[in-house]
Amino acid sequence: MAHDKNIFINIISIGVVILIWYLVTAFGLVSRIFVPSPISVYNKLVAGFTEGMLLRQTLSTVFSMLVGWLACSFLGIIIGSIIGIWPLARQSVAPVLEIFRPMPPAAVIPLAIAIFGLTREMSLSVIIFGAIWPALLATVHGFSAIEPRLQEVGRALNMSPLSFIWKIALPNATPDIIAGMRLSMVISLVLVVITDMITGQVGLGSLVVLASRTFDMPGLFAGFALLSVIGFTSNAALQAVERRLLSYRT
Amino acid sequence: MKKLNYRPFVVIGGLLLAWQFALGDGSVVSDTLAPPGPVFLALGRMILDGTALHASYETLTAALLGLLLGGGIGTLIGIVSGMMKPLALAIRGPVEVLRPLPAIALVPLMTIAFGLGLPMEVYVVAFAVFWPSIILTQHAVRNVEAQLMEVASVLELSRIASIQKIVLPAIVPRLVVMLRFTAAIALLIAVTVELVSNPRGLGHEMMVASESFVPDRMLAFLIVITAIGWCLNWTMLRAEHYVTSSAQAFPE
Repeated sequence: MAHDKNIFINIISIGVVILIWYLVTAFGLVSRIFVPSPISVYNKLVAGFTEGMLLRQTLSTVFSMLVGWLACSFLGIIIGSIIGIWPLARQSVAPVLEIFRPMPPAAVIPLAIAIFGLTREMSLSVIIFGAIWPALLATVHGFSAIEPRLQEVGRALNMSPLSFIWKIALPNATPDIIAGMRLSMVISLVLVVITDMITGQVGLGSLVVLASRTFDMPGLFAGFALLSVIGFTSNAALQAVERRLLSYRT
Repeated sequence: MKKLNYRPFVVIGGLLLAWQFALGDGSVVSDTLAPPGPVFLALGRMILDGTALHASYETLTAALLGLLLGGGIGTLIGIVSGMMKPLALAIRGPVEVLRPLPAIALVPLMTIAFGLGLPMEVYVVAFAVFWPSIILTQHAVRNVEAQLMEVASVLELSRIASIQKIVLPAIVPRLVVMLRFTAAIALLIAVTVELVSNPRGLGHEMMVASESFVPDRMLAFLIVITAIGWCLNWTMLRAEHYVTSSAQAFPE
């Protein structure tokens, strides 16, 4: 009940912001050159989806984001499990990871371009490199926080390392991993946009750049609107999954 | 004394050797990648002639100014909305909708509005830092112990006095954690803005090196950027440690 009320308030407050935006442009407080009116942005969105290639650009961005996110979550969980379960790996690899982690992911782009060229593989490799950290570190953290008693249970039952990971460690680390994956999703979206902007591949990033070069402000803001919808929806979806999966805990 | 853990150094050595063997035996002459030797030479050269310092200075100014602007306003809004529940409810919708917008996507708009240069970069960084600052400060304020807030109301402190005397000191440790987080974002965004378009700082130097096929210089700049990120993280961790340990030095 309270949840519904909150959503209601959120919708109203977003509506108020859009109304202010409309009034500001209608009364010409900010030059149209910089801020278009919401109506022209809406028209642009409708036109873009019905006859333009906005749908293709949006889908391409969402698709790259999801592929990159799934790949880095998958790799992050596997590598994180290995590091988490195997003391030798934890001692030798974990400090090395700490060297690479503060590296701004976008700074790898020139290197990735040098290796892969301006291709989809380049974008994917940059996304994986940049977005793997939250999932990876969350998995390592989740594994290292296993209760000693659970480890004793595993030993007493003579579990193989694989079944220990599958039956005890992973379920135990799930909350951490999902939180990490949510962060990974955010970073994936950012990196998709950046690589699109630099390489000019079909996507919302290049849409934004092209729109600004042609001073097509409604198009530019349409790109912003779509990006924030994508980010908002993916985050909300993962939050819902998180609640569903962890409902047994409360 | 704790025994030195030598294993990470073995791994790093292995990585360097792999790098060397993949490129350095002379069979592959590459315009796009360089073996470790020349990279470290280039690194030394750019540290000595001051390019590294100058570029780092440009990047760091933008990152810190943006952090100050976005983080400052964000923290302020976070504190006020954290103390007033209706306000927090009212701004939640817009915050949640605007927050996922990647700051880098704003670069074209900011370029049209402010032109290339320092101000544009500062605003983009500020935008990126603004949202997490609001949310994390709100969290911190809401987590101030209810008893402390009761003390404030018993003492009939005014809103401003209770912020100054009770809320601020109570949230400092969380704010320092937040600062570590947002400083990393600020550096990341500053470098990225330079990579994408802004002709100044480390990111730009790196892109130029890459586009003019000077791979050793490009990789050397990558090392400089990573080192700065690492130093930033380390400094913030020390600050965190200092704040939490001094908080524990005065138990209630």
